Amino acid sequence: MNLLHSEWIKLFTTRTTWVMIGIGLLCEALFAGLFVGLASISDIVGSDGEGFEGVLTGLGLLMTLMLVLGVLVITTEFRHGTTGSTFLVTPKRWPVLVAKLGACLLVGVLAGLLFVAVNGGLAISIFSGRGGELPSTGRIAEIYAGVVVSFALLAAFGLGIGAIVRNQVGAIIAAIAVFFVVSSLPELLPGTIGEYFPAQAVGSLHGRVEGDGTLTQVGAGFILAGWSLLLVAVGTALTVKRDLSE
Amino acid sequence: MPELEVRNLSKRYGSTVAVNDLSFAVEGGRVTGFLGPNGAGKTTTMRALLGLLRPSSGEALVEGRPPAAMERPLHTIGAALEATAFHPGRSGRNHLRGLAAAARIPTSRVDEVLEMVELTGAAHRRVKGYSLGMRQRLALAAALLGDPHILILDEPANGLDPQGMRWLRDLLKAQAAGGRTVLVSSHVLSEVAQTADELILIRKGELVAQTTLAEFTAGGRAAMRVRAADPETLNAALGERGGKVGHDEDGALLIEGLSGEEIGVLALEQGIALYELAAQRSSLEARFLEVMGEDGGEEAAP
Repeated sequence: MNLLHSEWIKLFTTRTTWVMIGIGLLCEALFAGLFVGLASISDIVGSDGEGFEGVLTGLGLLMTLMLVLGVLVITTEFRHGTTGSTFLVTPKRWPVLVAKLGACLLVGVLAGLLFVAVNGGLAISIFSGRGGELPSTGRIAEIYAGVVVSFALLAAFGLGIGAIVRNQVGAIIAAIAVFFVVSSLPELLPGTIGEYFPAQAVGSLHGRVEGDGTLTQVGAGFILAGWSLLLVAVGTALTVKRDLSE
Repeated sequence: MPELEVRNLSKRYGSTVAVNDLSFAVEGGRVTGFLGPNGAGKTTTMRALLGLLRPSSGEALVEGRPPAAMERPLHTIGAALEATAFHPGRSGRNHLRGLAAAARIPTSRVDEVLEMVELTGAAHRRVKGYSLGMRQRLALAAALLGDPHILILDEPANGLDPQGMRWLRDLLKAQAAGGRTVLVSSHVLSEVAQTADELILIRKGELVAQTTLAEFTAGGRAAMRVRAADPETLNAALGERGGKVGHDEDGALLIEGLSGEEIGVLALEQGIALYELAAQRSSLEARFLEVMGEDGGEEAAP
């Protein structure tokens, strides 16, 4: 708990975290207002006729920001050489990574809830105000829950990549490339194999069902959690083993 | 049991040997100066003692145990490794708060150490705006946070002004007088000469000497400085008697291997008037170069 507290202090005593979440939410409000407010209802509803994907506009940016925030939770320490003092307090090192994982999950949930507040407050009211037809409240709640969980797991995903790569810029590029490019390649393969990779799992979490998808929302959550935890575990093992001489 | 000990410590980075079969022990209640040219392996050795890097062979021990086995690390050992290891966008106080929270140290202690290093006024400013001297003080504050009984400080005098150096010396002396162990590295002997009770000298990753400051200076080359009316004749005569003759910067003779009496008697025999005859010890800095080799053993850090 003390380590988690320490990580929480570190997260919120630099401007980066505030700025990133703030920009994300601001853009979200802007997208919601512009797209949901100005696009034709049929465009928002899209081909699936359910309409909600259009209402969740701006989600991609916040997903990317969560990924980057997770990367920064560890790479800023390497970049500025603060790992020395951090690991001096906790020479076993792995508890620091567990605390960072906790901090990532918490900040992801926080950002997720803020997203839900902005999106729910703005996009949904504009959409229904313009006569758009919303899914049931239960369905909306499910989708929003998926968004919150995905933000938390994406931050953890970034943390894992950051712990493995260490170099800040390299890790940000790697995280975005792995998540958005590499892990979406299997979607091109025949069958449902793509569902088991992070990109499509996030889609399922957000209530998007593509093609002949078989995975439930909860199942997709477990898949993404598995990937994130795997990366964090590899990153932790490497961090415990490596020398800190920079 | 020594407070700090390295036994046959070696650390290699690829084909570069940073530390080679180094052994020494550091006792409590005194300031130990850890000296060597840049790239001699001081930082590597200190990092091994802090458990931040893994020795290629040998071991580094804190109170007889590997550093990772420390139960309350921040209360055992405080370290100031480099004055640049802070997030530039975070205030000095918040940096310390993060460390304090991890070690279950109350925030009141954070303000206490800030007071000790005279940074209270700048506590809420972002580190980005700190001078090098202020960063050194912040690093020291972090080292003192857990009121540890061992302090490991890597080049803490870098970037300090003369008042800052004096302040640092007093602080280190007070820490040692309180029974604590202080290991402080430097590549400039004069920085630690006024503080250190004991010296550990390393060069190219190997131990050159472990000695007290008094022993170190006493071990220097002793010579007689001579100025005479006819230095050439005296020079030749001294050579015949087995004296090793050299020249001081101003042209005076520097004679090794003969005592003042022998030189005086010889000058009288030759009928040469002596203007000056004085025993001379090599200065601390000259002695340092003597031990380290004239090039100072300088080589690129790995």
